[in-house]
Amino acid sequence: MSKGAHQLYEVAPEKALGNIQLIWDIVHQEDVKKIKPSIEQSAKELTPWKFEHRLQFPDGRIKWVDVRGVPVKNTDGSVVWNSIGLDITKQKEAEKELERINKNLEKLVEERAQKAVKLSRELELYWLAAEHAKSGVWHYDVQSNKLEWDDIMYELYGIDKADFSGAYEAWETSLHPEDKERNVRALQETIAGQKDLDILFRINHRKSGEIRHIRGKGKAETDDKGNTVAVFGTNWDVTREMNLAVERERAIDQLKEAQAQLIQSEKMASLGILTAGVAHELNNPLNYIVGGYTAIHNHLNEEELLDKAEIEEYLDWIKTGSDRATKIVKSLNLFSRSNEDNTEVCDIHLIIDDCLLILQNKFKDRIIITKEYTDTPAEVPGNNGKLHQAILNLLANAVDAISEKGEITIETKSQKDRLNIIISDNGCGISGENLKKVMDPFFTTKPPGEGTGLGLSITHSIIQEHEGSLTLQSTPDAGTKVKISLPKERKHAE
Amino acid sequence: MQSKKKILCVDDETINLLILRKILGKKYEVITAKHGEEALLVLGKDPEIELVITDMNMPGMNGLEFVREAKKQFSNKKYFMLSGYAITEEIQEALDTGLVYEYFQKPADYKKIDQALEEPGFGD
Repeated sequence: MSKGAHQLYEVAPEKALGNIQLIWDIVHQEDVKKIKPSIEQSAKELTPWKFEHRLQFPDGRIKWVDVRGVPVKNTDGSVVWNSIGLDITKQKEAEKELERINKNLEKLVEERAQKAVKLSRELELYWLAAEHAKSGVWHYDVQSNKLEWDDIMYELYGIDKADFSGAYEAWETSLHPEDKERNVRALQETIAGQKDLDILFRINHRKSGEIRHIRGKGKAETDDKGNTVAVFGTNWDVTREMNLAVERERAIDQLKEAQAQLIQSEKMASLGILTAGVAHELNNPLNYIVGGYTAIHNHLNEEELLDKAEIEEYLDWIKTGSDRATKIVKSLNLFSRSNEDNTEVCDIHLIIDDCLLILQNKFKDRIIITKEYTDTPAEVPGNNGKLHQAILNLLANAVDAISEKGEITIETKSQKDRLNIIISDNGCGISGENLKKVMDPFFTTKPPGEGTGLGLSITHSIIQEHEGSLTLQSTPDAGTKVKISLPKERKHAE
Repeated sequence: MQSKKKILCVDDETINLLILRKILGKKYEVITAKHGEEALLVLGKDPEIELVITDMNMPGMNGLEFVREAKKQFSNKKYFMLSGYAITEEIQEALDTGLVYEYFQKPADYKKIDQALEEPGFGD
C-alpha cells in the first residue's frame, strides 16, 4: 500500500495490510456486490481487473475511485493484484453535471419540438381557416410598387398567377370604376399613416365575369423613421353578405309597400263605413238644390211676372246646397287622396272640421262637440290625406265610445315648436289591459265586421311618420283622452 | 173657397222648412217646427192639422220617436217621413205597421210627395 493509497482510502497502510476488511468496509454497499464477481473472474482467468466504484466514508462523504489491477498467481495458488487506484470523484461529478446538462438540453429540445409542433398545427389551422374563409393575403411594397399575393388572392380576383404583373396597377385596374376613387384614396391614407385600411369594393371576377364584392383590411409597415415602406393585409369575398343586404332591403321595401297598401285599405274600409253617413250629409244640400229648382220651376209656370226677390231666395237655396255639397266632396277627396308628399301645409283646424263633417251623422243630436282651438295658426308640415285619416280615426273612436249622449272636447294648443291636439270624450273608456293592446294591429273590441282593428295602429304609424307622438289616457266608464303632439318643423322630411 | 188643409213640417234645417213652405204652400197651409218637442206642442194647440211630415235626424227625439209619441196623442193624422237616410229596418217596420204612411228620401221628389198627400185617407 502506497502513500497515495492512504490518501485515497484514508486508512493507514500498515493497518490495511493487517486487515484488508478495513478497505472493504468503505466500499459503497451498492458497489461491493458488483466488484466481487469481477475480482473472482480476474483471479480465475488472470485478466487485468478494472472497476469504477464509490467509497463511502463514515462521515457521509463519497469518493469515486478508478481501480485497476493486474493479477499475479503465487506459487501457492493464491492470487494477488498489483493495483492502482485513482480518485476520479471530480471527473465523476463533471460527468454527472454533463449528464444533467444533457438531460436539460434534451428537455429543452423536447419542449421546443413540442412547441414547434403546436405552432405548426396552429399555423395549419390558421391556413385552414384562411382558406376556408377564402381570406387572401397581400403585401404591397410602396417603394418598388410591387404587389405580392398569396394563392387565395388569385382565386378571389379570378386571375391566373402567370397573368399577374405583380405591379400595384394590377389591383387598381381590377376595381369597379365607381369604387376606384374612394378605395385608392383609403389606401393613400393608410400609406400616409392616417389610419388602418378598411375598404369595400366591387371587382369584375376575371374568370367568371361576375361582379364580386371584396372587403379588405390592412396595416402600414414602417421603417425606423416612421415612414411607410409597405402595406399588408387581407382580402375576402363578401358578395354573399352584400347580396343578402340587397335582398333584405328589397324585402323591407316590399314590406313598406304592403304596409302602405294596408293603410290605404284601412282608410277605404273606414270610408266605406262612413259612406252611408256622408251620403246622408249630401242628401240635405241636394235637397236644397232640388227644392230651389222646383220652386223656380213652379214660379215660372204659375206667375206671369217674375218676382226677382223670390227667385233670388230660391237661387240662394241652390247656392247654399251646392256649396255644402262641394265642401263635403272636397273633404272626402282629402281622405281618399293617396300621395306621399310629406311637406304639404296641413291646417289641423281644417282637418278636424272636415272629419267632424264626415262624422256628423254619427254624433249629431247626441254628442256635444266643444272646440277649444288655439288662436295661432295650427299648421304643421305633413301629408294632408294621412293626417285626415289619423284624426278621423281618433274622432270616430271618441264618437264610438259614447253609446248614447255625451261630450267630446277637441283642444289645440300651440307650443314653441310643437302643436298639440287633445281629444277627450266621456264615453266608455278602455280597461288597463286593453289600453296596452289598442295600438296593436288587428286588435279590436268591436264585433266582427265593424272594425278592422287597424285604426289605432295605423293612426300611430301615421303620427310617427310625422315625427309626432300619440298618447292615450283612459278610465273605464269615465272616458278617454288622446294627445297628439306634432312638430311644426320636420327634421327628416324629404 | 174652402180653406186649405193644414200640414205640419218638422225639420231642424231652416232651408228645408222654407222649401216645404214654398212648394207645399200652394195647396196647404204650412206650419213648421224645428224639433219633435216643438211639433208636439203645435199639434196640441192646433187640432186642425191633418198631415205631418217629419225629418228623421233631429236634436232631441228623432223622427220615429216623435211620430210614435204623436200617434199616441193625435191618432187621427197622417204621418209622413222625409229624410236623407235610406230606409232602415226600423223605418220599414214603422211603414209595415202603418205608423208612418209613406217615406220620402231626400233630395225630395215633390211630385211624389204631392200625390201621396192628396191620397184620400181617414182624415177626409
